[in-house]
Amino acid sequence: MNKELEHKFVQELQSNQGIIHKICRAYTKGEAQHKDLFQEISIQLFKAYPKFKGNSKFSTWMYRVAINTAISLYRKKKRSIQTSQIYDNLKELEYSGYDDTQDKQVALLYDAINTLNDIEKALVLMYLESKPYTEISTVLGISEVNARVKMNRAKTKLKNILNP
Amino acid sequence: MTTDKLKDIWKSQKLSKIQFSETDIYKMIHTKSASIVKWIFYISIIEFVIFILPTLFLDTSDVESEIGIESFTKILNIINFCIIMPTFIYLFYKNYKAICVNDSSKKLMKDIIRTKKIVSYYVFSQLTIAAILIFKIAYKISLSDNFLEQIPSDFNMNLFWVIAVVFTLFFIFIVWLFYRLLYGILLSKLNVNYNELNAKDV
Repeated sequence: MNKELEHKFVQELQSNQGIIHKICRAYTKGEAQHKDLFQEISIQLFKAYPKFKGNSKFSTWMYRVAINTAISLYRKKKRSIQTSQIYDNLKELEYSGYDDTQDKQVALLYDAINTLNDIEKALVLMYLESKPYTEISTVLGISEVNARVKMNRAKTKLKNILNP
Repeated sequence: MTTDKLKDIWKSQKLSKIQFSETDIYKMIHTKSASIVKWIFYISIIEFVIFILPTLFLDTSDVESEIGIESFTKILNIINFCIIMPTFIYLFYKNYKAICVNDSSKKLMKDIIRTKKIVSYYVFSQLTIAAILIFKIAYKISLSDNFLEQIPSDFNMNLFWVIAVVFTLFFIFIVWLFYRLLYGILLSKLNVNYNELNAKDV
């Protein structure tokens, strides 16, 4: 990839990173894993970027690759030594992504999402992002009807967790 | 709590406290991937090499001619090196290249599983060749004068064949067990997710 394209990619990823952080928080436990998954998603996005045709928005394409990485490609590491080197300059930032005092309701919602299986997480995340069923079925590769049935089940499960 | 309320909560969340600068992202994208696909690729290369190396570096022609299987192993090697191995390497490469993270989750998982299956078929093709060779050697030994002179007159030849079969099956079982364990650990999550996605709920 040429430098210009690489720079464009980095800029787009940097400004859209919020979406990936949400996925990382839903699929991992703890800061090290969160960063580890973020790194893997970034690598996969970078590798796939030359094939990104621009038919969809960068954020839509990014969402699909991030979900795919989380449910198909990512393997949790027992220790995250490699990633710790990269983030030395972030040490001054106190991590509070999981601090439920900041936003208790959001933290509770993430806790509930964390108990779902990987596919249900993907469905619920896309629902919460108000993605249409056509997009959800395309991302996952299942029929729209099937996506609706699975989604209803996932939502019921989520509500039961939140309202025991 | 209604699902609409959940959406409101979701929208209300603030930016993650982890924020990466462009410099961080530059560093990140130039590190090596640790994805399942990379693992499958490395393991597969090792598997291909493991079965090729002994044939390239072990000169067994003396032993083969002594047992009388020289021409048999030559034909087996030609079939293996000219047809079986190139076919599997080609299929592996073609399927590995087809794995694309831009595809739908279901297609991506299917492609990964198919690529892994090709390597498993390759390994079992090599085990089959090894089993054929073991039986050929056992057959030749059972007919050799040396062997016939050394065995007691009341020796049951059926026992000899039972031992040969048990030994071969045990050898294949150990390798199969190793694979179940290796890929079981590596692909357990992927298989679970694929089955979940594939489950027909309607």
